[in-house]
Amino acid sequence: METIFSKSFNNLKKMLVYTPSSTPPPFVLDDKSDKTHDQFGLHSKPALEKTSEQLQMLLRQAKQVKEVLETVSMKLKSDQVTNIPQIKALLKKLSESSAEVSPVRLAYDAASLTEDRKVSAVLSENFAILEKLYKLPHNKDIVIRNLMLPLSPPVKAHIVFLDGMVDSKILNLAILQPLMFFSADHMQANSSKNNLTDQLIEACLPANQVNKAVDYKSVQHGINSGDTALFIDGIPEAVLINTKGMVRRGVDKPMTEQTVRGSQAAFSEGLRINTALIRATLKSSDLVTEILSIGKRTNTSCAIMYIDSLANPILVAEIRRRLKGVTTDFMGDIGSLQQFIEDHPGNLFPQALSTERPDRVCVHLAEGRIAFILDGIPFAHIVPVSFFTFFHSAEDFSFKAIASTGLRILRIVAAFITLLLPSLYLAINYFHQEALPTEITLAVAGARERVPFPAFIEIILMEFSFELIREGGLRIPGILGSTIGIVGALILGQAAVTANIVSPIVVIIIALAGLASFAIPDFQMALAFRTIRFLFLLLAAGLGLVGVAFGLLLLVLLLCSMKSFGVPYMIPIAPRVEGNLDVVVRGPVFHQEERPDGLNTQDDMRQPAISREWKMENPSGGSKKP
Amino acid sequence: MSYQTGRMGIAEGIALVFIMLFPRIFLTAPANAVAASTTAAWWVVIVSGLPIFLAIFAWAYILRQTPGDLFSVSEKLLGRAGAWLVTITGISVAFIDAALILRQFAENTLLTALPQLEFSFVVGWYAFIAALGAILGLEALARGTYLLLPMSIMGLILVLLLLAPYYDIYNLTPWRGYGYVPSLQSGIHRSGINIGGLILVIFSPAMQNIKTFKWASIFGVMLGTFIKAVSILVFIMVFGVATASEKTLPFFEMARLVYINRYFQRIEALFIILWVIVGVLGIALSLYVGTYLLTRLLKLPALQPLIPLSAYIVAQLAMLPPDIATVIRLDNFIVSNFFTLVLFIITLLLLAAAIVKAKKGRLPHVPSFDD
Amino acid sequence: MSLRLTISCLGLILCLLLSGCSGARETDEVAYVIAVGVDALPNKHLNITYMIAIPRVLGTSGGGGDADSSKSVTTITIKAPSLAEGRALLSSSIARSPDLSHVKVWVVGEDLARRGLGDLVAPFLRFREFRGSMYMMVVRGTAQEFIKENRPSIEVLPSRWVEGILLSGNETGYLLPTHIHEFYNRLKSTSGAPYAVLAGINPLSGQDKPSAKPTSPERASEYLPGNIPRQGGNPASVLGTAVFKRDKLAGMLTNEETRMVAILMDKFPKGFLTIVDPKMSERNVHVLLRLGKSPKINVGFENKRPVIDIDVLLEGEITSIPSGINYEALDSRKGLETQVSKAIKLQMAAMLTHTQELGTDVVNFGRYFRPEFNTYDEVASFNWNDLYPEAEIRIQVNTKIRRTGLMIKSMPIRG
Repeated sequence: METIFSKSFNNLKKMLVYTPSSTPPPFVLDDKSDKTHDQFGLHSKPALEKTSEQLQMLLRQAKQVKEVLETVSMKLKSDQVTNIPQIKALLKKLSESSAEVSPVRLAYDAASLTEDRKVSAVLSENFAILEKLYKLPHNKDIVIRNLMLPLSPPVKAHIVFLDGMVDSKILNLAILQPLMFFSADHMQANSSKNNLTDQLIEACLPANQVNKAVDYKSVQHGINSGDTALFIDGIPEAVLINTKGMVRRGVDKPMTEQTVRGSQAAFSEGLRINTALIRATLKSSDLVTEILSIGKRTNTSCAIMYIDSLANPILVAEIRRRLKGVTTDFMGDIGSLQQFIEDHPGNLFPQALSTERPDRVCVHLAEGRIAFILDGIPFAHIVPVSFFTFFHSAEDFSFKAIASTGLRILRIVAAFITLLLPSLYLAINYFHQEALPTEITLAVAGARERVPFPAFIEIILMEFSFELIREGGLRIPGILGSTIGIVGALILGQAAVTANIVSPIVVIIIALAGLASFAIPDFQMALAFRTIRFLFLLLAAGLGLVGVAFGLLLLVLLLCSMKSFGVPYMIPIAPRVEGNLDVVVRGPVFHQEERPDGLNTQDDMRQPAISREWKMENPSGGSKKP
Repeated sequence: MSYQTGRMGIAEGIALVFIMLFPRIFLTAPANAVAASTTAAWWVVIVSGLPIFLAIFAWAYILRQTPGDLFSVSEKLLGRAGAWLVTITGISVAFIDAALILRQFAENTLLTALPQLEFSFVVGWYAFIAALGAILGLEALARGTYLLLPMSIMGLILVLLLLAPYYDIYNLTPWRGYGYVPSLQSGIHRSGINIGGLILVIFSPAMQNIKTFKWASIFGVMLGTFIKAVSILVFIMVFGVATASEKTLPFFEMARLVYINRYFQRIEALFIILWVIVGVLGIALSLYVGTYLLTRLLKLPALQPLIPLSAYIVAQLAMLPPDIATVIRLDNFIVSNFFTLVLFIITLLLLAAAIVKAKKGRLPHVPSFDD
Repeated sequence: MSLRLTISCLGLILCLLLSGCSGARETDEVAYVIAVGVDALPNKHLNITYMIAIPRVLGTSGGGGDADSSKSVTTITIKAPSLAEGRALLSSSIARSPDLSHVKVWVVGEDLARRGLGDLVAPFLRFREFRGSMYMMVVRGTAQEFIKENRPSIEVLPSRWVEGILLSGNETGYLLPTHIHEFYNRLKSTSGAPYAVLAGINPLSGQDKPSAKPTSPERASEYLPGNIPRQGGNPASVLGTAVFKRDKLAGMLTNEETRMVAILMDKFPKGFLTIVDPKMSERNVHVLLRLGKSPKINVGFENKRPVIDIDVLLEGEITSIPSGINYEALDSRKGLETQVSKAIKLQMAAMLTHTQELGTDVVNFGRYFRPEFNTYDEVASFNWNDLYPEAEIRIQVNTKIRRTGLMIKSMPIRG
């Protein structure tokens, strides 16, 4: 009974007492109760599901029969004699399709996984399978459009495609239009059904690449890459038509490998664009592109390119073997693919040259190396390489020999500087103060008098902040990026020196070492040197120049023990082979007669000894006297 | 067997031979040589190299008769017992050499570079880094040595050239030293110091053919002997015999003396890198040789697991002598007597066995391309 | 496997860290000693003076403009029985560990040099902090006073001044820069007397105290350090050579004698010479001399007496002819050349007589005798230093005047 007392009591209670809001408990992702490993393709369906599959298939077949019966009865009722052949054709189709629901076949189909099944002759069966595969109706990407082929009798068909991956214009003009409008003219009415697809392919589908598929694996592969699948009622085959037309970035400028001279084209994400860029430079019939598919769920295409008359066939076979032997789930990055197939994945030093310029790829292909490209990544990897290849830049051959040699020596010196300069400073500072001239020693000592930290902490601090600035600068949006980089470095350095946290000489050393690491053309090599630098710092702080010597020796021995796809890493110095004039010192372009020895190509000579034949002849104008 | 020595060409062969002869330049050996032969020390070194040349030719003949490495050659020529004897001698030579060089380089470091370090620490670190180098395999050692070789030689030559203001050629007179005959005797007596020149005998299956072995060893020994002779020459010229025979570390003292102008002085700290690298390579190679012979002797399946153990043994051996004077005397004694004896006896024994077998026709002479 | 690897790596790093930095010393834990002076005390003790640099004054963010030489070093003197003990006692007053690897010069007092440097220098090079490329100087007076009074007016660091002077000693030939290496070698080798560069404190009073009057045809007097009539500048002065017999100081050579020694040792780059004008004896001619080629020294024995033949070729450049006489012409030039040769020969003879009296073979003629012997034993038993005073030395000096400067002839002053 609601008295005024109870009402006021309730109101008071509501006002004063805290009642927590009744929200449902938060979402927690629990562990799976049963941690059985789901091996690839080994799980079997539970028994009930098999039975329901079978029953559904029978149901669909029954619907089919019902349709045919209705059609036949309608035709018979209309009492036209010309319909008899059509009715015969219909009944023949039905009898064929009923072969699919024989008990053995039914049991087998119901038990196998959806993706292992073959294309069925019954269109509704195909529709059901596609629904299951592509999780229709809540997967809105896939579109299934019904067609009627205007043959006599008219045949139902479906086309299946992924929205966004196909070029709608090609779809409309090359598939729908000819099928719907013109197929009647090109087909013979009483042709047997067996070569209906062949006839369609040969006469009605003006698309440039057409394949037939009988199992759903290839159908899926095709649809997922952007092809359109055509299913025709009564034919246990699907036609895959190439309509790939996803919007892709065009050919852009290279972002990390800029050059002054040399082409400004860089790879893009589309595999075919990349292979075309390489073909545009190497217009040779010997250039072979093999395409493999890697990754179970991604099915990424990987292209191997090489010049067949040059590349060592054993090497090609080895690369093919390694790429085929990669079993993984997701392959979206060529860097991770590289780690799957290389000899020393734990080693910091790169064993393949990663480049985004097609002209560089062509240079290396012409020397007998092999490139592989992954679909969706604008980079190509070139194997096998040696250590010295990483110090060559893309435009080395554009300049004259002496200038180019000077630049290469500068890069190698930069590699040494970035590796050794901070460690040498630490070692001399701690253990070997007599190595510097007295004035410099006293100047360094004087500058460090006010600094409260030991030299090791100083260097670690400055190294750390430099790496922070570098890493942070990668993620700052466009306009602010360079400003903050400069501001950060300058002000931070200056303020640190004025506040006596570090001494000015340490700032100079760290800045020099950092800048020197940017002079190394290959990013991974620079990263390797930058990382090893920390190890050298530890060794130098602990054992002085003896530690630096230990580190250097171990580094050299490690490099000499590495192989990049069967070719020793430090060739041609260790093991000693005939170096062509292209290792550190670059010889003139008209003296580059041999290909690199370590690759063991099929054809060794690039140019004859006299490659400037014009020098041997008399010039056309001018005096005849020598 | 899982340890493969790989394939080595003539350049790597030269590097291996050279690095077995090179480390002793940085130790007390030049001072000992000067004390023994005074002003003739520099050409006595060349005389010490001659028995090795003859030994190389002898071994080329033996290997042509019976190809294979040391163990299999001695097994075919001398039987099981002889093979065991020869291989055990080889192992002891390798390990003693490694221990001596290790101890001397550690003492060197304690004296010059890091004077306040703990002794066992230094020996441990050297042994550890040498073991790491040996684990990486013979190919890596040979190639790495070949890479680092020109820089090491150039560093040494640079020091020798920078001392030009201090040369006094009259320090080399009288040219005969103690006399021709005593100098020659001393040279032959000390020829054991070059026993490392025969290292390619132990790895001969890895060499491409006998010609590679012969020429690589010859070039390597020639280069090593030449460098030693030049450095002792400069050493005597700069210091004179009396002062020179007192020095514990001739190369270090020479590097210390360089004084060109206000800025270019006291550069010996930078050459620490040079001799540490050479020393560790020498230790690593001796270690590898000893372990290799051990695995061949006992027919073990793998080499690499044994290396940390042998490194430990060598380190303990190295720490046995109580003080550095004993070590230097021991080194001198062992090199002059034990190594020389081993060199002559083993070579002559195997050469005799090869000739006898060739004459008896049990092993027909195999014609090869380099006859 | 990776667990084992991780544990062993961690163990190694732990070893590295726990070993206590293995002797690493920060730059502010080290006191840089840049000069050491040693004096004799009566009871066989040593009076050791250390000159220590103050880095704070020389640091870039610190002193900069107003660094001056008196504030850049500090001097500490300790009486101790030996160098090692002195160094140990040094760390009682300075808060850092002394580092002797930057020592530029060892200054030895005259008394200690006379008493004998054998105890000091002979075992010198055993300790790793002493190196053969340090300079060695003997001072007239005490080293302590020399180090204290050494106040360079132009340089900041006194050691820089010392190094500069010794490196530029080649300008005149009046001093022979000596490293400990050369001193030590001479101590231990079979012939040749140890020598060291001589220094002293100049009272800056302008008083002239020559050691010898000028011998014609030379005009300049000879001096020992400290006796040059000079006012102003650094009181320290470096000139001449101290010669030792075995390890004891035997005598001092003046600047002219040092120049002769430099000529004979082939260490003479160039030097000025002022001679009496051959045709007008109240005027001078100034010549800049160089060695034409290395002096040829042939040695031999005649009647059991060692004979040394010296042949010196000097090249000269005329720098000033006050009299205006045309010495560039051929015949008068010959006269000038003869005059120069005479001056040098007299100087050389005087120097050789002086050293023969002292029994010290500074030029080290003994080494030219070495090829005469067959084996090293004979060389070791050949006591040259005793034979040197009886040696007969024949000198021949030739001079060629090659250049005449910017003037090809002199016109007389008119008016």
